[in-house]
Order: sequence, then structure tokens, then C-alpha cells
Amino acid sequence: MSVLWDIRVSLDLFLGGIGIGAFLLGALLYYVDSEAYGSFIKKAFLIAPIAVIAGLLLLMTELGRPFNVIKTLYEVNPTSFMSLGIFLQSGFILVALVLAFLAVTKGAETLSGPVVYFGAVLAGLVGLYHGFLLTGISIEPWNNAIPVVFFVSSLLAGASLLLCLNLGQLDDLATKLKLPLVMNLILTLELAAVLAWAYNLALTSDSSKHAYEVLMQSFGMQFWGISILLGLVVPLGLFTLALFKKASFKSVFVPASVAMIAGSFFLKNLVVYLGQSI
Amino acid sequence: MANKVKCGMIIDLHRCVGCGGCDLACKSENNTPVGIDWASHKVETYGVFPDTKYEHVPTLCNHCEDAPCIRVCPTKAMHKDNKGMVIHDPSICIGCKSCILADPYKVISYNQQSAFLDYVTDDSRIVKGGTFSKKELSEASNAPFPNFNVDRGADGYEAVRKKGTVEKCSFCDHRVADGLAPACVVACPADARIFGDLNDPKSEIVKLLKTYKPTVLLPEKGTKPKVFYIRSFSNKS
Amino acid sequence: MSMNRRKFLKVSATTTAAAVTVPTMLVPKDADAKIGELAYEGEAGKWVASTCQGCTSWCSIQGLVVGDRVVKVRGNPNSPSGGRICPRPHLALQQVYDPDRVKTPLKRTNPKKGKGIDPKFVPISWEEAADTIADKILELINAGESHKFLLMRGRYTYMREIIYGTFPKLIGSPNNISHSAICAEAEKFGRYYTEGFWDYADADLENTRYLLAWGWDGIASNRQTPWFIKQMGNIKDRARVTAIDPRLSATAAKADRWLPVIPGTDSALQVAIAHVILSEGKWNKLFVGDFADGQNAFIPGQEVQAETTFNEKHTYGVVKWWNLELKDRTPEWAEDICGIKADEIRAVAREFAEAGSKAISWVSPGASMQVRGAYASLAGHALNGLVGSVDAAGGTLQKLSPPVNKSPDYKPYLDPKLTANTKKPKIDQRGTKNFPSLKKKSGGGVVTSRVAQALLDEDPYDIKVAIGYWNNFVYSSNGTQQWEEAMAKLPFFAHITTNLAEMSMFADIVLPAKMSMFERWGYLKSKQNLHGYATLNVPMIKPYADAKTDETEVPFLIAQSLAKKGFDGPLRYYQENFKDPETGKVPQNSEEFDLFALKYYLEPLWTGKAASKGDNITSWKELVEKGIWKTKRFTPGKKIDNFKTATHKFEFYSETLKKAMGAHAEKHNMSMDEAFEAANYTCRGDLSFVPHYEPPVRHGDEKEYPFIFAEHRSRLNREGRSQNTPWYYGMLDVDPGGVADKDVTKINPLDGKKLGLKEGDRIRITSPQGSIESEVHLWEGTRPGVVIKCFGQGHWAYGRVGSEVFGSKPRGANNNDILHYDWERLSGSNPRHGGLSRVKIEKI
Repeated sequence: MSVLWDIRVSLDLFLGGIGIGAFLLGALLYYVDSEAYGSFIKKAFLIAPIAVIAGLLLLMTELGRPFNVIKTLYEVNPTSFMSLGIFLQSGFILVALVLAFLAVTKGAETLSGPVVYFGAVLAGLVGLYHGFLLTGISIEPWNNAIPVVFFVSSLLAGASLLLCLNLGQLDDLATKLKLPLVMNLILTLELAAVLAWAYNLALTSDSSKHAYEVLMQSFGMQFWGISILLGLVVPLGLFTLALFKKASFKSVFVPASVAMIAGSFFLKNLVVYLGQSI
Repeated sequence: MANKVKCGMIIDLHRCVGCGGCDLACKSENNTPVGIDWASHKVETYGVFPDTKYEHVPTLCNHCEDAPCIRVCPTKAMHKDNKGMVIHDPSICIGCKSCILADPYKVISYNQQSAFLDYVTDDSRIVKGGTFSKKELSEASNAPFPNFNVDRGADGYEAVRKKGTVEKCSFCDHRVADGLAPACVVACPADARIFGDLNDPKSEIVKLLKTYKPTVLLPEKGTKPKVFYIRSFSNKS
Repeated sequence: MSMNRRKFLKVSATTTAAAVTVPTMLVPKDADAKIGELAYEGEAGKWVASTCQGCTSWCSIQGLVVGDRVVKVRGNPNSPSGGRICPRPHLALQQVYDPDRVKTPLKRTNPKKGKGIDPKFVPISWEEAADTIADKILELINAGESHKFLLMRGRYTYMREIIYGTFPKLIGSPNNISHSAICAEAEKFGRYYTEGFWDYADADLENTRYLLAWGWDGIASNRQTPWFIKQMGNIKDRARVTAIDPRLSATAAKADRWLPVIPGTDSALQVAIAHVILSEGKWNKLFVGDFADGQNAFIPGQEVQAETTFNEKHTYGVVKWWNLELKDRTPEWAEDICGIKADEIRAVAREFAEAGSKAISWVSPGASMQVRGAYASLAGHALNGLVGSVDAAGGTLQKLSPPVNKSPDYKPYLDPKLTANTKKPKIDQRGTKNFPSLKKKSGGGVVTSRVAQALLDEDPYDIKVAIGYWNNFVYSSNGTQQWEEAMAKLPFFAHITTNLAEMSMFADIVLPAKMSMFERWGYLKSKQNLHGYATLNVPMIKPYADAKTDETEVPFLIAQSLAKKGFDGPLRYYQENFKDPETGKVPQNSEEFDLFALKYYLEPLWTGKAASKGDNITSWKELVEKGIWKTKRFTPGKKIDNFKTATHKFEFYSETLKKAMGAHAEKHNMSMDEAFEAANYTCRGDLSFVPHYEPPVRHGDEKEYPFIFAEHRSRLNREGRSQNTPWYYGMLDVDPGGVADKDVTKINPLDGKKLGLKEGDRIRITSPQGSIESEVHLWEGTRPGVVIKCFGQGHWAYGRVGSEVFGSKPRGANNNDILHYDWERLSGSNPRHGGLSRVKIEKI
């Protein structure tokens, strides 16, 4: 079968993930201390819609009839995650743009708490939607583990990017938010989710076993080498070193972030392609 | 409505000789370009010489009761009509291809290019001045291509699908609306295809479904196909 | 929602009218066929009858004409095949609208001729084309060598009477050479020399109980294909089908038994079956008769003694057959020769005989178009005699024929100076010592493919001017190499054709022909389902090309040109004899002649004169609308004891053959044995006149060429003419063992292993005749030791789809490049089957 969804879909899922990851970190910091982290929050709320929009624009070029997208607004199909996702993403972009505009023009501290909360809820739903878009197709490797795998991957990539852009406040946040520990926890969760996904493929049914074989044979390097080792195990190791004070958090953070962001893209890309290769 | 029409099809493999007449009749009825077949078939040879068997199974959209392509379509371009047929409306299709991915039967095709574009662009000829070009034929016939079936577009459907949309078997909804059976049914020289109303207890299709034990393709997918197969292609002893 | 307003309204209307609409919808079988004419939104369409000539089933079809285009095809509901068509007619849509069709007359500007040499064709007018040909003909006439004109006919309609039946004679040539010997003449041989019927058989499929199919793949290819397809399910419900074929054919795939015979050994299997039937006393005693004492004296290994009386009824020579051939032909004897287990032979013989007069043994080209296939044709058909299924309900039948007008006498229009030339021997060497070609008499039938050698050897003389129509012998006959040489040598050749085929590439003039199914007038005679019929070719659309009807318009145009130059016999013949039967109008142009000539021939059918024999049709308009005139249903049983054989019986010992071959031997001052030797048969003495086993001819040493090459037809082959249609390729896997978009060679996996070949490997197949390249398909439907390839691809000319590079590089490969240039000489046939070529296979 030829590839119906190519790298543009992976990029949408990746950039969308960056966007919601960034937004959720921004929202968290808004509730922690909107004044202290004002510029951080501004960047987060600005990057979030831009990343999501960029992803969507890429996705539009993938569509056969992009101008018909407008029709999704009134030809709603409640059983289609893509149909729901269009509303969720539109809503999220709208809220995020308003928040970004207000944060930039009036300062992060002037933002309304409930609106930020609403934005965060939308961000969370969009983050889950990225996985459910695939899960809803209901073909073998795109199983129920994917929403979790993608959501956590998005959080890691988006948050890492944002933190890299605010390295000045990194040490402060590392202490306040216990970042070495939290990052370790999230990475472990993601590692578990990804391995559970692969393990599930390897065992469940004929078609899932076939998917597992293709994963190992055609995507082995991308999976073990980039997605698992580079994207998860290496950062985990680096943060563990930081946790045990064998290295400074700041010194390991940038390389770990690059690895996590790359890992997030490759993981999503691999899942997108794997689903179409069986 | 008390007794809504629900169209289905039986393919009697005992009668089917595997000739492919259905596939070709479909092509001329539905203006499908080379590489896109709404009606197709799968074949298999098994056993070891001289105890060799061969099976031919005609395939088409199963017009599932629980159609994955309908479930995932973001715009209801893929939808069920009032006769239970799974129909695609290219006018609201965004070309996302989700339906193709979700379809376990692989009967939906995507138009990377507008179909029959070669009849617009190709002016090559094998002997200059002595033979035709495709473009010339399209112009002479005043049609997208000479044997273009305009009736396929009679109900507003894109008679030839342009770039960026998907297409698949529609149970010849345009014919059924006129009281005609689908093209593959009429074209079958073996009378192996029976089309009718699954909700009509007196219909031939319902009688045959009761007489024989029907099978469907990929029953484990839970899609509840409305294309049924009865009896077997090969009965070699 | 997706429904636009228009559609919504339409659907609502349908739903409201459910009571009316739904029942129609639910009885789809004939719904469409009955409607006849459909109204289209914004456009009107009309179903117009014509004839499909994709094979020689010659089914009556209908095309849906919308405006000036034909868009769909279906069976003619008036046809006896139940209004059904096989897949082939659909492909004709892409044939008629093939961009590579010849658009206008063309002239060669490159004098050099040969395979792969660009003829450098340039367009010319019809007038220039006709004048050029007329000048060439006049040159021959003026030089006193009008016999050096050759007309080669390929596929045809019965309007062949004009270009093939009369035109060569009117210009003083004996050379009207048909393609028939490429087709299936050896199949007819068996029926003629047992029951006096030189034709294809019909069969009572609705009542049969057993079908023994000798290389017969009736649900896929020739003849009566749609009728067989329609009946196959019913036959399987009540009868057993046994398919004898080295390949798991389409029919074998549906059959109860498949006997994968070694190619060319059918006659061994046939006589073994006959042996079992006689030795086990299972013959039909009502038809054949019985021993006077009721004791079966057919004891294996023993002759029936002269004093034993057998009261033979409707057959002739059963005891002779036993004594001369069958007594030793045990299944055990046959097993080693034909590769079918003795037990299975016995089982088939018993099943077949038990079905008695409702058992059909059907011989096809597969089992007869072999170097020594005449006796397989005889033996296969003789089995029907043993079980009494000849001319029986549920058995094999002859035919009824529509009564049409004969061609008017041409002699008054023939220049007396040319009469002697029309009696010169024909170029194909028929009836010569080595080519008895016994269609009823010595030299009675054509030896089509011998023409190539005759042209090369200038034997009996040199041909100087030739016209070919609807033929492509360079591609379609054994000996492509000989044909290429011969055509390159031919001084002047005009080809009338829809596409620039291989043959056209040797032409000096190419004339665009109308496509038979949709663009021209004509008619065919055929039979299906116990009805004979005449079916019309109707011009339902106008060609985009400046094309003419090959069989009528072209000779008329040449006749006009000849008349202009002072030789008016042909034109006077055509104008004076083919006036419009309705108005008396004299044809002034080729199109009028095309129509008037057809009306003349069919006049008994549309004036009600033939009503006692079949359909009562009383106007030309009615005949064109119906598209077909059918005879009444054939009644079995009337031919018995009235067969057109020497004895009027069904002959196991063929006195008819003895007489025909006797005359041939006498003509050449040979003994009968010498005559059979010259025809490449091994039989001597009385054995020659009973069906018997003949060892197959295989060209090539077994050590060097270890495999036997066999070929078959695709169910999508419109003879060799569907290979430029894109639809053809995508569906080639509808042939068992076929692979879509490819031209594969099917090899048994065991042989593949021996040769170290994997699926998809490229190979070169070489026989002593030549070599082709192909791709491996490892397939269990192939007998080990035999490699099988479909015929039909490998055109180096025909168009952009059929060739990789038009004019030089074929797509796929042509089997005729490796099939040996040889003949079945008793019928003159091309022995494309029977494994005459051994081959070696190399990976490339």
C-alpha cells in the first residue's frame, strides 16, 4: 500500500504536541506564579497556537481538497475524531491566540484564571486527540496505547522546548518544580507506555503480531535506536545523573531536550508510517 | 418508515466462473480510471500438483452496516443513504484519506490526480499525422474520454472524479434509483450476483440467505457486510 | 449531508414509489435487458444491436449509444445465449476508442522493409491509395500474371464474399487465402471424418450429465462462451465435468476432475477410455449395437474373431476399431504416455459411459491443433459414438443455419483472358504431396501459414501484389521469423487494419478499417444453445478515423479506380448485382455498397421468407433493431443414419477418410501409406482409418531442451487485438495462473527449485525455432516438465500500450517466436498445441 499519510501528518502531530505541551507548561506556571514567570508564560502562549497552526497548515497540504475543510464546520460527524479534532483545535487556537495577545499586550498576570483553565482543558483534549486520530482509524499498530504515548510525548517535547527557551529560569524551576524528579517520572511513564504498546502488538493477535514484525524489521532502528534509546533512555539517564547530583541539571538539560524533542518526532512519525506499512 | 429498504448483494461462488465481466462492466459504468477498480477480485491457487485448487472471489465495497469508513470520515462525505448503501459525496470530501486507512477491505481509492487527465494533456501519437492522440480523441468526442458514461453524474455526483478525492463502489446508486440493478449484477454472465432488499422477506436475496449458509469477508472486523458469499467456487473432489 | 437537492428529490421520489421500484430492483436478472431503451437525464441513450468478434463465439451484443458515442456494452436480449456476454466485449470499448488507430490512409516512404524498421508512413488520400493499388493490379493483369495477386483474410464477417469470395476472382487470381488453418480446422477434422460435419459442435448443455472437455476451456474462450458461463453452475448441479488440460484452466478450476495430460498425448488417453468402455461392456448398445450372442468379446489383448457377429446399428466399424487399435490400449499402457494414472482413466471412462447418451466428449483446438492432432480429434469425437451421445438430447449436436442469399455469379464479369489464371494452384500449396489438407477432399482446406514459405520459395510462383485485411500473420502464426522474411520480400503489400500491427509494418499502403463491433455493416452466422443465427454488425457510431469497411468499401473503391482506368468488370459486378433490395437503387459510393450488399445477402431473413425456419422478421428496420435472426431450436435425432459420411453411419472406421486420402494419394501417384508418411503420420495400413494413438512430434532434443512448451488463451484475449487496451492488463489474474500487468511463464514449483528460479525471475525461453524473454510465475497449476505461457502479448507493433516501444520493442513476449514452424497436415492447421516445441530455460 502506498503511504496515504506522509511526513506532513507526523509533523502536524509533532508540532501540535509541542504546542499543547508548551501551553500546558505555561498554564502551570500561570498558576504557580504568573508574575515571576510572565515572560515564560508569554512565550508559551505564543508558541502554542503558532506550533498548532503550523502543524495544521502542513496537514492542509496533505489533504486532497483543503478548501473543503471549511465544510467540516457544518458537516459534523460525531463518530469521527478528525471531525471533533477540528473543533477542539479551532477552539484551542482561538483561546490560545486570545491569551497570547492579552499576555503580550497586557502581561501574563492580567489573564483570567478560568480562561487559562479552559485553554488548558482544550490543550489536554487536543493532546489526547492526536493519539485518538490514529486510534479511531482502528488499524493494528494504532491501538489504545497511542493516545497516552502521544500525549506524554507531547508534554515532554513541548515542555522541554519551552524550558530551553527560558534557560535563565531553569535552575529556579528545577528546584521549585522538582524538575529532575518530575522529568524522570514522566520519561519512565512514557517508556512504560511505549514498551507496553510494542509488547501488546507482539502478543495480541495475528495482525498485531504482523505489525510487530514489521516494526522490528522495517522500523527497528527508528524504534529502538531513536525513539527509545535517544528519545527516552538517554534523557532518563541524564536526568538521573542530575538527580544524583553527578551532573548539573542545567548542563544535561539542553542535550536531553534535543534528544526528547527529536525522539518525540521520530516516535510519532514511526507510528504513522508503521500503521500504513502492514 | 415501517419497512425501510436495505440493499444487499449475494455472490454465488458456485455460479461464478471468475471471468471478470463484473469488474469491466463496473469500469465502463462508473468511469473509473486505470488503477482504480470499484469492483475487483482476489484469486488464490492452493494445493500441490495435481491436487491443485483455484478460487476466485469477486470483491467490492461491502456496504457495511457498521462501516469504519463512515465512522472516521470528518465530514460525512462517506455516509449511508436511505437504502443502507454506503455512499461517498466528493463535494464535501476533504481528501483526508482516513476512510481508506480505516477500511479493512481496501476497496476505497484515492485520486492523486484528476482521473483521465491524460485525455487533457497527452497529445503524443505513435505515427505523426497517421494516428490519434488521447487529447484529440477527447476533443473529438467532446467528453472527458470517448466512452465516458455521463449517467454516472446524473445525480450530481462527479462523473469523473477530480484530483484529491476518494471513490468507491456505490452499489450503482444512480442505477438503483432508476429501478435498475447495479452494473456488475446485470453484466454477470453466470447470474452469480443477486441484488435486492434485505428487509423484504419475499426477495430472492433473503430466500437465498436462508437456503445457504452465507459468509462475509473479514467477519472478525465486526463490520457486518451486506455483500454475502454463498457456496464455493471450486468443488474438485 | 452529502445529498444535493437534485439527488434528494430523486431519492425521495424513488422511496415514495417504492412499491413500484423495489420489485424491479429485486429481480435484476433481466431487468436491464428488458428495458431496451433508457432515458438519461439531459441526454438520451439507445441500445443498438451489433456483434462481438472478440472470439468466434460471435455473440449478438448491444452497445449503449449516447449522442455520437458508445459508452457501454451488454448482451443482446434477443440472442439465444440469454442476453449474456463474457468479459471480452467490454474491452472493445477501449479498442474502438484506441488513440493508436490508423486515422487515414498511409503510404510507406522507407523502401527498406524488416522487423523494427520504421516504414516512415505519411498520410495520403483514399483516392491515391485506391489508385496505387489499382495500378499494381493492372500491371499484373497487363503482364498476364493476375494470379500473382494474393488476398489474405484474417478475422472476417460473412461480407467476406465481396473482398475474399469474389474480388480476387474478378481480377483473375485464385489466391484468396483465409486464416482458418490458424484457428481450429483440426478440431473440425474429427467431426467430419466420423459424422460428416466440418464445423464446430453444439451441445445440449441443459440436459447433459457429463462433460469431458479435451483442452476445452469453454467458460473462458471460444466458443459460445457466455452460454457456457451461464450454464456452468447448472451443469455442476447435475453433471460432472472433467477437464483435460496440461494447465489448470478456467474450466479445470471449476471442474470435478482435472486430468493434467502431457501435451500432445490426448489420443493415448482417448483410446484408453474407449478401451475401458468396450472391454467393460459399457458402450451404448442402442446406438452402437451388440454382439449377437450378447457376450462381450471385447477382451483386452484379444482380437474379436471374424466369426463373432456384432450387430452394429448406427455406427460403422466398432469391431475394426477394437481389433486395429483398442484391444491393447489399456489404461496401464496409457498411463506412462499421457501422465494420467490408470485408475483415474478407468474412473473417468466409467463415469462418462454411465452418463450414456447424455455424455459429451468435447474436442477443442487444445487437443487437436497438434502436429499429429487429427487422430486426437477423431478419437475424442469417436467417444461420443461409443456412448451414443451423437445427435442426442444432452449430447453433441450439429446445427441449423440461417438461409441467406448466395453471391451472384461473377463469371459473366470476369475477363475471359483471366479465366485460366483463376484456375492456377493456390499459393498455400494445399493439396500438394505434403499438404493433403483434407477439408472434405484433397486440398479442400487452406494451409494458411504455409504461405510464408511459399512466398520465400516462390513455389508455385512469385506473388507480386498482396492485400491483407483484419489479419496479422506475422504475429499470429507459428513461424514469425519466416513470416517476417516473407513479408519483407513481398514487392507490394496493402494492409487494411484498425491498428498498425506487425503486418502493417511491412505494408506499402495502410488503409484504416472500421471497427467491426461498432462502426460497420456486416453479419455473422453462428450457433449457441441449439439455435443457429445470423447476427448483424451495425454502425452505431461514426469512426473518428477516415476509415472504411475492409470487406466491402475497400474493394468497391479499388473497383471504381480500376473502372476509371478501363477495367470495369469488378465495378459492374458490384453495381449491377448489389442494388438496394428495397428501392432498387444502384450503389454509387462505397457506403451505399456496404449497406446494400448486406441487405442483399440477408434478404430472406428480413422479408419473412425464412419465417418457416426461424424468426419471422418482415422489414429491414426490424432486423436492424433486433440485430439477430434465429433458427428454430435444433431437434436432436434426425441425423442418425443420415450422416454425410460414406456409409451414412457414425464411422469409427472412416470410409470417408479412406476415400479422401485415397484420392489424394492417387493424385500424387503414392500409396496410401506413402501419403500418410508424407503427412508426417506414423500410421500405416487400415490403422490410418480408425482413431488411434499417434506419438507426439517434439522439436528439439530432450537433453538440450528439457521442457515441453504449452500455451493457452486468456479469457480477455480478443484474439490478438485487446493487447492495446489498458483494461486488459490490470485484470490478467482472472486467468488461473495469470498475474496482473505481466506476461508470465508458469512453471511448477518443483521445476523452479531444480532450475534455481524464484517468483518474478526474468528468464529466456529458447526453442530450436527462436527465443523469448519472460518472467517466472511458480504455479501449482502447471504440470512438472511443462512450462506454460499465455498467448496474446508480445506485440512489437500495435500501439503504445501493447508495445514497450511501438515498432520495435514488445511488451511481454509472443509465443509464436518459439513455437515451431510446422503443420498438422491432414487439415492444414497450425499446430500451436500439443507441445511441439521443446524449450530450455535460462535465468537472465
